[in-house]
Amino acid sequence: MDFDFSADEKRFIEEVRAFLREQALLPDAADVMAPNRDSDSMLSDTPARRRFNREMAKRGYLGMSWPKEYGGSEKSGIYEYLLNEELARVGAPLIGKGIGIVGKTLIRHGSDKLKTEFLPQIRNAEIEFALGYSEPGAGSDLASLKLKAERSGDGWLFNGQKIWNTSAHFADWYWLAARTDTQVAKHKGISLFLVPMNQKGITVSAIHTLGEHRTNHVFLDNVWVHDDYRVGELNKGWTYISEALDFERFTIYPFSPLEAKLEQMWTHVKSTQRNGKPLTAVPEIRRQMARLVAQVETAKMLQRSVIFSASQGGVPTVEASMCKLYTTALSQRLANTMIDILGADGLLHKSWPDAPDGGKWEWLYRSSALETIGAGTSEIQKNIIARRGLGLPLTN
Amino acid sequence: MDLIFSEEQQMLRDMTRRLCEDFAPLTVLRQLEGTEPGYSDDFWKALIDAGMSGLTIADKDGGLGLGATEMMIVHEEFGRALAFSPHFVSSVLAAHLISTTGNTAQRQRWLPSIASGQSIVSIGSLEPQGGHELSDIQCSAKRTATGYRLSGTKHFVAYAARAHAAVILARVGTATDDVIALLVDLKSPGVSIQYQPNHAREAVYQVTLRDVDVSIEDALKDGQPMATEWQDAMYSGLIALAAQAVGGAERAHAMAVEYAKVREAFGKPIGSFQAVAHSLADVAVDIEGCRMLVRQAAWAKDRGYDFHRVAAIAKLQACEMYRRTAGVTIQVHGGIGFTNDADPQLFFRRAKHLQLLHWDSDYLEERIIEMVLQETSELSAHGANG
Ligand SMILES: Cc1cc2nc3c(=O)[nH]c(=O)nc-3n(C[C@H](O)[C@H](O)[C@H](O)COP(=O)(O)OP(=O)(O)OC[C@H]3O[C@@H](n4cnc5c(N)ncnc54)[C@H](O)[C@@H]3O)c2cc1C
Repeated sequence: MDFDFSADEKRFIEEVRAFLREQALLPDAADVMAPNRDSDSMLSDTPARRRFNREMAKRGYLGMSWPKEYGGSEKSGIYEYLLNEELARVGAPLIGKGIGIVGKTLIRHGSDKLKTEFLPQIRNAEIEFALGYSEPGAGSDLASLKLKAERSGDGWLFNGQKIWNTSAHFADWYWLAARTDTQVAKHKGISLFLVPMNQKGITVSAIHTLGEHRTNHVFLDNVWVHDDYRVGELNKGWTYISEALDFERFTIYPFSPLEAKLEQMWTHVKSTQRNGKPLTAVPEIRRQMARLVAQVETAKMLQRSVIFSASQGGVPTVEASMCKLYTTALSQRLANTMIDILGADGLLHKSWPDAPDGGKWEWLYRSSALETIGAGTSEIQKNIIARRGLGLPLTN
Repeated sequence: MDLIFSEEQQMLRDMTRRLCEDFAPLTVLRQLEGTEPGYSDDFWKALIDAGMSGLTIADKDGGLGLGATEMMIVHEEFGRALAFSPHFVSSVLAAHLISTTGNTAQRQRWLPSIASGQSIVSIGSLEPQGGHELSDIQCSAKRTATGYRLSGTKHFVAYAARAHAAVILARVGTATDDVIALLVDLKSPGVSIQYQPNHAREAVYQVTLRDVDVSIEDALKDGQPMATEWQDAMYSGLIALAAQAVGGAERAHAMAVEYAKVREAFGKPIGSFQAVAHSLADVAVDIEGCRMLVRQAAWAKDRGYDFHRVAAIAKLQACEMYRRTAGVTIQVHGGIGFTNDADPQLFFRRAKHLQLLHWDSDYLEERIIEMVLQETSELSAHGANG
């Protein structure tokens, strides 16, 4: 048994860290790396972010796990995971949507035309995608999505709406799931398409969130796209969506932000006094911190279990659900504990100059509310664990 | 036992609820959040016209002379509506302090005018990085020929931009309890105030005091340390705060229950999934327990019993419950719950404020333990004697 990463993996981690240290010195670094805002930088479009992504491409960090014929280096997915950990630690935009979901699905199922058109652009960080899955009536129950795609000439006509489509207001292309057959079981009538975001008939309207992020409501009114932009086989969309989720289990739950937050808590606890005593000497604080240390370590183990299974070629659906369930709730507990430790001043917003840690905790307390909802709610994760992991005859 | 409100109390509740619905709907809250003065003049005027600004102030001082139960009833409605106003800080907390520690001149100067809503008096207790212990009060009051010279910084002073004065807690000596309270005109030379952007987007301010001269006539309790009176005022205030938490939680929970009945996933209402139904049931238990705790605390105070312990328990439990309830409300709403346009976030942010701003959980737990240990040692002393 060996819990360590291999020598080459460790070397890679060091290499990425050196790269990020270099990037941190650039004048626009603050727009790319926002450790106090997690990977906030991912959710808005800035010249700095595009530049940073192109720099990542130049270093060969995009498409590491892709086959050589598409410009990849056929490395194990673990490198993409390690890269994301380091990006997440400094609050830089993660890789995943383009490289993982879109790229890997196209590699496996896309036509030659789509591969030729999109893969080089993805690898060179020239293109941004928005994922168009959720609808007002289809979130947890995604397969019940209704956005209609009907044949029209040599293409398709889309009508309906999508919601929660993060980055739709700046993305170039839309990765769109639509209903192509209403007569069959809900999972069997969905197809995937690529649609230019600036196509006639698409209206994007902002939704503002508790985390001070923007996401979007997207309306499609007679939007047309050529059949060439259908991804893979007709009505196989649900299979592709699920498969893509499996590729991504590797990379979507970086653990380093939790570790970094815990470190920042220590910095505060060690340097603050209460009633003339350092906080590290207050028994209640000591126990709270000890509990968090233990829980963060547990989160790390749950995540190692995902990576290990994936690196052995498995599909760690249940492990990933466990990891997501535990980690997201922990992240909320951690923010709450830290605000409680800070006391009233923990409530100060980042726009107050003396807000503790630049208002990080006040913000985190709000933004972490999303964690147990986005990308499959905690309730849905429990259903997966119960049904697929434990074989329980769950009904719904 | 009789847990039913009297007819007058029910009328008070209905009237307050109507005032909140008419003048402080959530649409108004959304306009007010993050702005100054941070409350609706119309709502405040409506409260004043109804006599609410003098709710618990004695008849002889120009108020309605009602008790803790009425205060609880009114604040439960404020909490339910998320209705912001200076009521808590001025008509409850400051009025209580002034009526228990003010001399005749001070009482005459302030109580009728707080009761009539002419004056708003705020409170400056918290300080930067400070907790709720008396020892955290560093703001200093130095004796001068005519009174005191105040220096220090206060945080989270509610409605300071509109307040005619604030009761500032300040230190006169090194012993923990060497804390006095001064009525400070916030327009005095040396006072500066600054809005502090915050989690609930309430109108709270940093008040900076630089060599502010305060007349001896504005010292409460004749300038004697008054830690006990301050704590007594806070224990009463806790009942109002806990009631706000219960009201807010009830409303948030009702929203979540309603949503669980109408929102469908997998072809049925999400309330038909036990994961959702059970978490709403858990919250219902929490709320019921806290509602009873708060009522008991108000009753104990009105009966003249020692109510500090039950008031502290009510505030501790109700604010933690409110926080959890608001989180569950967001969770049950799914993605919608995380948007600014939906209402759950309003309750979520308010809940954390209520928990931390006035005697947080740490502080309350300490007080509860002290009181329980005190009681048990008295009990065993009795046992030994008898
Ligand atoms: C900020 C943000 C960004 C997002 N980004 C994207 C994006 O880029 N692209 C995209 O397509 N989507 C995105 N999403 C959508 C997200 O994946 C959904 O919000 C999520 O899957 C939940 O769906 P819902 O909001 O419809 O909630 P619902 O499905 O309506 O759930 C409501 C409640 O019911 C519970 N529930 C539902 N079914 C069950 C069940 N069977 N058993 C027990 N409990 C159940 C849920 O757990 C939840 O508590 C985003 C969402 C947000 C808020």
